[in-house]
Amino acid sequence: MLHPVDPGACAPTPRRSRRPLVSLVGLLSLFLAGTTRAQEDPVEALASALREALATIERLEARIAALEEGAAPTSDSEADQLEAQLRALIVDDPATQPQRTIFPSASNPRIGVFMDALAEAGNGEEELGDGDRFSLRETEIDFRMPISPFAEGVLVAVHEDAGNNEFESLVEEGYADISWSGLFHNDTALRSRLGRFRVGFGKDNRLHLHDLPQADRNLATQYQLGGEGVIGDGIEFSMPLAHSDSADGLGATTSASLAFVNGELFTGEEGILGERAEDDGLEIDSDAPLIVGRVTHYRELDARSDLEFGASFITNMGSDTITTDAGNEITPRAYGADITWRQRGDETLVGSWLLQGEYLQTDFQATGPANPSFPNTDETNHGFALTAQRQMSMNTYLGVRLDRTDMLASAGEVEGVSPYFSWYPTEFFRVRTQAQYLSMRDDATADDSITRLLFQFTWNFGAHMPHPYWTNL
Amino acid sequence: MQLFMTCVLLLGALSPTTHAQDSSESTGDSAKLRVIATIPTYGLLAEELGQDLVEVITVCRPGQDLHGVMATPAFMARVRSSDLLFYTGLDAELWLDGMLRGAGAVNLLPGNPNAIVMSTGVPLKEVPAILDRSQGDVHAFGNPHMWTDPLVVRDMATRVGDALVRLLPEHAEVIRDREEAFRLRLTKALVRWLTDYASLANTPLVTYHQSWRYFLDRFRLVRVGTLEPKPRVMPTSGHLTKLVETMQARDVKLVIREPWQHPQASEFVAERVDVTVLALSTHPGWPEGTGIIEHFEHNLAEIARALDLPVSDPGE
Repeated sequence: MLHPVDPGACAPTPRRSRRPLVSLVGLLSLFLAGTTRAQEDPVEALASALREALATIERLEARIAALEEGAAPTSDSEADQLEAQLRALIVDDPATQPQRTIFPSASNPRIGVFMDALAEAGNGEEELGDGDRFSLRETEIDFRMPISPFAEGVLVAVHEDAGNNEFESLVEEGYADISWSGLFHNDTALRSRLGRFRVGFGKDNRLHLHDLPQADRNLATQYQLGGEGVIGDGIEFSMPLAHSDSADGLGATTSASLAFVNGELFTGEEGILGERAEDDGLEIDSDAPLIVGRVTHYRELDARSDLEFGASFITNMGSDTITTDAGNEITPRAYGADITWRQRGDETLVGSWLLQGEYLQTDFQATGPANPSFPNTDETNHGFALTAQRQMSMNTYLGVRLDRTDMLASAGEVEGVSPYFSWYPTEFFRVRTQAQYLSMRDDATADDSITRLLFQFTWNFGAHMPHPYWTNL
Repeated sequence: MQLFMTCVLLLGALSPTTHAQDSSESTGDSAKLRVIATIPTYGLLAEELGQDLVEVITVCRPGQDLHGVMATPAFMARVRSSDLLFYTGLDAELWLDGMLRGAGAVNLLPGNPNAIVMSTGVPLKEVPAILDRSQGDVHAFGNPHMWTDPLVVRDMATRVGDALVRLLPEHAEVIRDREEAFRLRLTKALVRWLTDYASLANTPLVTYHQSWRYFLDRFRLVRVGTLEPKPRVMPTSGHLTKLVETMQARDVKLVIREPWQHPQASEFVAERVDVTVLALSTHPGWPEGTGIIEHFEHNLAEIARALDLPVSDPGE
């Protein structure tokens, strides 16, 4: 049956029939009368009483029936008739199947595996310090599961290509995502991430590699924050500050996040200062905590477009700074601003546009002995990236990214143009081609031009993970 | 640094101004029960039964693919202070968990009493025997598009009514009256459709995705293929060429795609087979303004017209 309609479920409820009881008592009385005809009056009296009782029951039944008939709304009979007609019209369908009651992943986290392979052709291997021509660049395993009624546990473990057929593993993120409204049974929208996480700084920095709209991070992020962006250990608080809906139903939301993390955002192996220190054989360390803040304003412009502004910062807490074993003391600060505009095409999303701009600035105030990596000066670097992307069909995207950024600890700068084309044969497999022309000036005189072609293949299996909302409409 | 400060000041200046402007226009009413519906069918049912007692926000647009909804910051903010959620379940709304967690709406996470799973108790179709992506983006628990069957929607009205009565017990009588009235109207319409469109039985057709299965079975239409070779795998010319042969052999006269599915594949087959291509949504509100019953009426009439069959008159 297509949808099993219980024949009795919607049919008029039958009144409980007393006919069998009446008949039984009647037969009993006749039997008693027949077999005790010669006996005394008490038996006849009993039979007579039974007959009277039967008559009373019948009268009462008739009364009940009459009352029920009068109390029933006329629509009931109409509904009953319709129901009977409907049941006669419904055709049995053997195609339905029972709902699953066994969940294979019970008590285990949802697991998503993302694999990212890159093939590269062109020059610039020396300047960019990239790995092999072909590499399984990153394998990311994402585990998620509620750990309480008010919190979810997240672990993102990464196995990445370190070049020369060597790999290294790291915990990219591992945190508890806590809802304070659930924890304290109140109406606050405050959430916290506790553990290790991508800090809420910038736009590109907050994304995992497989979520990026291009094959690589924008140059400002790479050259000012490090190839992996900045990831910190600590606690982050986030909450919406205000929300309103206009009479047209268009929403505007302002939200903020504030994180307190260890000071190694820039000094880890992948950090921008850490890489420099390693190149010069210096030990670098920081135990001074950092504050990372971000404010975002999101606004629906009309039914087909929206706009988001974001501003973020990283600054130190107190007077402690990053130190090297050569005696350098560096105080880091970073600022970011970004804007994203989306416009939906037709209902198929073909013709949709994404325009995005990001500006980053890092300040490193260095004291102590001058060395190539950490000159004894205050250094300020700027960089930006502009991206335009158009959805060409239901599963293809064409875009271009323009980059310019200063290089740390030098007078150098990098400019780039990166057109790209993304094709999703399925939701779980993506092919991307990206051309890249880079102009690198390491100092005031040298000028290197790099042209390369990147082929990126990304696939995933396991549980679906949410995409960043701005990648689609 | 100056640029950064300028951005911050601009942002700070913009937010209070725009909020002050909007807050006066806000449609929110704290006295009403705030209901989130993932699809238009659930939203319209809540409005039908709740009317002035509820404020309903529907996440998926009538012309939008339910599976492709993205949780924007504005929706997260709307969800946060809501009291009741109606959703399909069965992994139909994969974005829902992220939206609820992003909003901090732990009271509406699946498993909570005010998160109402609308698929509960509905016999499922197309429960996969093999659960991997070699079968495309299959739904692990079965086809979740059950709101395309008007008989299922009738039971969903009861589920919505139950939830509203539980949270608004003082209005139980009026909610039950509205529920009964809606069920009666839908039953009348369904009897008429099943009678007047009995000739649709065994009519072969092709759909883009598997989303129409419950609707087709209710009216005994027969799907002989889909434009997608596998669920949510884009149509290929090889698959469509084979499908054209099937359509010719089975004398298929009708192809149905949804508004969010690109017309290219249906145009490909329409150039090779004499078929009518209909763009119909599984969600009420498409065409604009149609309610649940009008939506079924529209879809059935369009199918009948495409097959040169008489159209049922709702006024009869």
